[in-house]
Amino acid sequence: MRARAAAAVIASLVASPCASFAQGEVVSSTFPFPAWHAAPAAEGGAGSARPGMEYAVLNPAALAGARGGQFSRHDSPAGSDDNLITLAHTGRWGTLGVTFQRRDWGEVARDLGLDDLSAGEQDISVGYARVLGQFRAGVSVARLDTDYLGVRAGGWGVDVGMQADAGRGLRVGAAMIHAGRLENDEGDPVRLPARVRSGGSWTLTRSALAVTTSGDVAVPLEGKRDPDLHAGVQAGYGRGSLGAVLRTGWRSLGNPYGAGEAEKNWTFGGGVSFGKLRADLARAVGGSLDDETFLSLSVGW
Amino acid sequence: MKLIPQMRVAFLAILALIALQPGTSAPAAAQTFLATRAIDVTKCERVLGLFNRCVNIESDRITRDFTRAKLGQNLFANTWSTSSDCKWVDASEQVCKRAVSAGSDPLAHRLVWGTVDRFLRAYGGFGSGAGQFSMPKGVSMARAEGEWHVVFVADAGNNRVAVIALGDQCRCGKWMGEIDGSESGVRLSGPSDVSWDHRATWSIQDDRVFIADTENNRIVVYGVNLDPVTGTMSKHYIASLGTEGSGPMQLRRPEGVEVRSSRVPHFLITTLYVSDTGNQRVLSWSPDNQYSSLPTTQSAEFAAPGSSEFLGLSLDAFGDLTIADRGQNRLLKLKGSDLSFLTTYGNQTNAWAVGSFNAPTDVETVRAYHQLYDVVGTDRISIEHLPYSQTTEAWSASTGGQTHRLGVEVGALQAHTQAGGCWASFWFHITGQGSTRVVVKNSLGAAVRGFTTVVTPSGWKNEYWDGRNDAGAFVPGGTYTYEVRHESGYTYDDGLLQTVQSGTFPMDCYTVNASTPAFVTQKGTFYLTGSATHPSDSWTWRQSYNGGSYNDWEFAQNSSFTTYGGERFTADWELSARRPSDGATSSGYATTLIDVPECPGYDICPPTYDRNGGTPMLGDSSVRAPMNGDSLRHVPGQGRMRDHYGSGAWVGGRTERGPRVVQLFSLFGTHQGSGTAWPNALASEGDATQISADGDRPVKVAFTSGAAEAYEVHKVKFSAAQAGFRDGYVGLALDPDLGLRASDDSLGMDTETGLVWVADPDSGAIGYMVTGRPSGSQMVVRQFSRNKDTWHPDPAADSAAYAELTANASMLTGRRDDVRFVIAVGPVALAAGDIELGVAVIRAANLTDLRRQAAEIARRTPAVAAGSGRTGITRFRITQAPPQAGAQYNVERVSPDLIPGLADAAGLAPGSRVIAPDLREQVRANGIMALAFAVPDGTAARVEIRIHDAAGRIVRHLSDESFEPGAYRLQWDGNDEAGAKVAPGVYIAVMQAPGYRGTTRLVVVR
Repeated sequence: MRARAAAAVIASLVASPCASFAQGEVVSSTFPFPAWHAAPAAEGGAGSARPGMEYAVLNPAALAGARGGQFSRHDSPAGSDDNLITLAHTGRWGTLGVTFQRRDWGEVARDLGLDDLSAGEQDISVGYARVLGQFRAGVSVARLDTDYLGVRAGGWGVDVGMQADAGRGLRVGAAMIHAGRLENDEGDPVRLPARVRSGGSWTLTRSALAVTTSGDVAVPLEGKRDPDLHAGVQAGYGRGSLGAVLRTGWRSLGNPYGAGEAEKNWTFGGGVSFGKLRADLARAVGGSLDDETFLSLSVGW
Repeated sequence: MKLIPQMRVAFLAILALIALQPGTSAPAAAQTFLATRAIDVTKCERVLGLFNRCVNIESDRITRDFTRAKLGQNLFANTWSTSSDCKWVDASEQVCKRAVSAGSDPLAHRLVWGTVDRFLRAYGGFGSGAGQFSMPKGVSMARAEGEWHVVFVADAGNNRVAVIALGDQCRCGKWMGEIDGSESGVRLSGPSDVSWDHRATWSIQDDRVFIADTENNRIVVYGVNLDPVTGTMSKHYIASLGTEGSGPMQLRRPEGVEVRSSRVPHFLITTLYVSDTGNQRVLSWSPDNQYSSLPTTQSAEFAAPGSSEFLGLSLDAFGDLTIADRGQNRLLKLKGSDLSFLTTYGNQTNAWAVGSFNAPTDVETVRAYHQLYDVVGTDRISIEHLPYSQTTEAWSASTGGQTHRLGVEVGALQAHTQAGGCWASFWFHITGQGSTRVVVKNSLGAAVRGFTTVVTPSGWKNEYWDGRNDAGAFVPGGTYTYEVRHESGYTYDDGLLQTVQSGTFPMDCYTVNASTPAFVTQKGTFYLTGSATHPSDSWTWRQSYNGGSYNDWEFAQNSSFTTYGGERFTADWELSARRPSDGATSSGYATTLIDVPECPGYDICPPTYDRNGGTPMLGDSSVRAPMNGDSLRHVPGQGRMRDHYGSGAWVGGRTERGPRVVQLFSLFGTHQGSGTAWPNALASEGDATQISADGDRPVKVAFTSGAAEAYEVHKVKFSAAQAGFRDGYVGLALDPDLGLRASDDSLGMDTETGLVWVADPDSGAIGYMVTGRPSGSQMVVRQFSRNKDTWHPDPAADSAAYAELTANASMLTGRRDDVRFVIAVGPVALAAGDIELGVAVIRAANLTDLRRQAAEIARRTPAVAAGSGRTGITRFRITQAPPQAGAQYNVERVSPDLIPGLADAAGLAPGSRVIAPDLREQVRANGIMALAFAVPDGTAARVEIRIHDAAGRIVRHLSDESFEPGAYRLQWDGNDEAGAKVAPGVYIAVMQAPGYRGTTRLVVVR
């Protein structure tokens, strides 16, 4: 019965935004931001079925039960300055989280000798999630803004997601990410590249060792619909307040531009934790651009 | 328990050893004292809690620092009484020049003695043996026998009077004996004072000593025979006077005694004075060897009820009596014959001031024609030289008072100064007591000013110097040195106790400053302001400017001048000062060259122009910006103005001296603002009342260009807040300034290139070109002059005010040095969005070069797509003049998207590798992103250029083929591989060629 209800929810999430999009509009190439937290980044961006606020940008249901703060920094090969801050707190009423992401391209015309010509994008979202038995459900509303050489656009996006614990270490999750649109000062609309992420994870625990395998598929809701594929493995070992984890993953980003080629990367990374403090590092290699590095610091309470 | 003898001996020996163990304080070693030593103190301290370490200090080695370091205390603790014997009276000055003084130090249980300015010694220590004291109080010094001075000390704690011989040659002391009354049965109890009666003989034999036997309420008289050379003394009891009570012959706790004998033929007259302390009175007896008591004499003037506490007394050479009144911090002077009141001395409210006393316990007069008083206070001995006038019967401390202090510390001295202009303030903090003197010295070390000695206890003090020397004249300017010296006035073995601090400071009493308005661009009268640091306002001043002659000396420091627009005005203003008192006219003056920038117009300067400010726009302090500060926001150094609202009014401008001058005004149709002067002050930023020509359509104007180079393009962006603006003109009003001599400027326009130029044979040429304009629009250039400088809203409709430039013509209207014109394009419609107008500003050495560069720019500037209301922005700089044919340009920071010939012009060096795409930022709706590169001579190269989005996805393959050597330019139209427009955002272009891989960012704006 519960599984059927979950399937219905997921189906509604997938289907509902489709009707809202008109054809022929340009689609943002920026949103949603990729996972900048080093944990999902090291697992190839997979994690829509994983709990924890580091996966909240993939599925807002992951926020359920989280308490703490995280700061992540992404060393972008494109030269942008990417930062992510997430704060979450859980009470009897559920979990409330705030996420701020900003990509700052800096002064893109500095080498021209032109100052104050900058570009940047940012995303501020407020999410709510709750544990419902073996399910987790979450929703977040994001305010999205872009500024390219002083031409600004803004809009709203909505993320809705659910996760289910199927038992024996198996989890599934699905989410619809960034349904919404942007508009600039002149009213020109830019659609967000809304897509449905669905995936699963399986965790095998032996004594203090836990191995988790994750996989996601993200399908754009319109356009060429080349899906994004994400897969990753995490092996963690914990004893007492100390813990260490190694991760690796692979991702393939579908090409919506008709260029036919997917952007593929291998990812790997790791992390250490001491009590409620945690540090994670990830690196993505093999892409068309230069290698990427992700660094995250987390504290729980 | 019974001990066997051997054990008893051993036990006693152990006790003795224990007893002989050094203690933790000095008195334990008193047994080692030798009478021939002035002092022998043992200081013991516990080391690590395990054992005692003792230091023996012999008198000859005692110095202030030594005792402080070894004993942990000062040599002087709390003096009680003093007595002196004058060794040398200067007959000419009638003052005692050298006196041996001794003072008791009850808290330290010793005697401090010495000669002022020569040495200081301590004698004694706590104990009851020979050479020891217990709370010694009164001291009386007998006349010297050779080098030896016999001192009687009321050893109160030991109930005796100690007799000591002090040698001022050996600087040592020796114990002569004691008087305790044991041989007569008249035992002393707590004697407080003692007085030696020399009986008016020339020897110290058969003298008498009067002892204030305080606890027994009586005066005890002993006869003594002294031989200080051998250190022997004989004594015999004579009498005791008084009983307890308050009657005529009764005493209650007498603490002061003084006796004086004089001889007349066959008679010895002795007068005894007693401080009957407990009864708060002073008694005098004249026993005439009968020791009969006299009625008490008490004067109402000095008997302050309930507060006086009479202690030590002293008779001076005139037979008058001085009494230390501890209760009221003063000295009393009474007539010795009848104890009638004469005067008092001492400030009862400030016990530390000069001539004041803090709980004085004793007083001593030194034999001299003038009086020298040793007054003992709580913790000091003050030696006051107080000439006394019997005529006025008052001390005149102010005429000759000097204060020396015996037994005071001179501690740390901190001093600093604050000086500014013609004054200095000296602040110094004194730790310890003594006298302080501040001396100001010039650079040669000569003292120019000294300040009164300050005698003060610890604390901050201040002296102010008004810049005058001791003669009252102001000192010359320069660096001066202050020296603050704090000293005790007493010489110790280790030198004069003093500390000195000094420092330097500037003094400038003669600087005259002249100031002027920073710059002037408007007709009017401006005031030159002069000021001086000299404190005197009686100086006179004179001025001149423009090289003119001086005016007459007058008191006014200020002057004024009037300037008119359109000409450079340079004023040379000199301000001098003269001091009438001595006629010194060259002592101080200042000359200021006032550089008044040229005003761009007679009346055209903004009415609200701030004469005292302005905003330099080029980050150059020499730049003067005659602009309305409200109408312009400029961040120095960033070269960008933004968000200025002003439809039909100027949004900013700047003027820089010299040929690199650009003054830009935005202009749109109807001029807004009040009045007829142009341009009027703009309304406040964001003022919604700014309207455009076709009515109530606020237009936003923004400058987004840099402005720091000689060759530059200004992008002026006009954007309507509301649609519906049509058929208007947008443009700039330009006001070039070519140099100092503008009378031969020329103005012209080249219709082929659209160049508007202004040339000056001396300063070069400045040209303006519209590098991009809306398609279908025309450029209109109109010139106007100061004679027609009233702004006319519509140049086309007011031909009388404008003269349209003709092609390839040099024409000026109005005055030749007044070159202003408007470049506008139109008609345009703002409904379509922003209109960006690029205006290149070019400077060249002459008109020929200017035209050559303009042609080059025109050749590189692409045509604007038909129907577009927007153009791109370009920015370029050519650091060299256009070369001869076959030469190469040195091109920096070019915008290839708007300069198609860049690759050709770049002049790639042979053998160089592929040149990466350089600058290529912005793709607008119909714009084209150009990526220029070149393949060097030699072999062909395969060049792949891809466009990626931020996630790395490929957006577009621009190239993946082989290119022969040469320069190429590829364009990206902003579409993806499927031909769809890409979304606004930042994209990354990746170019790969053999041996080369580079990326650059592209910004797509829609």
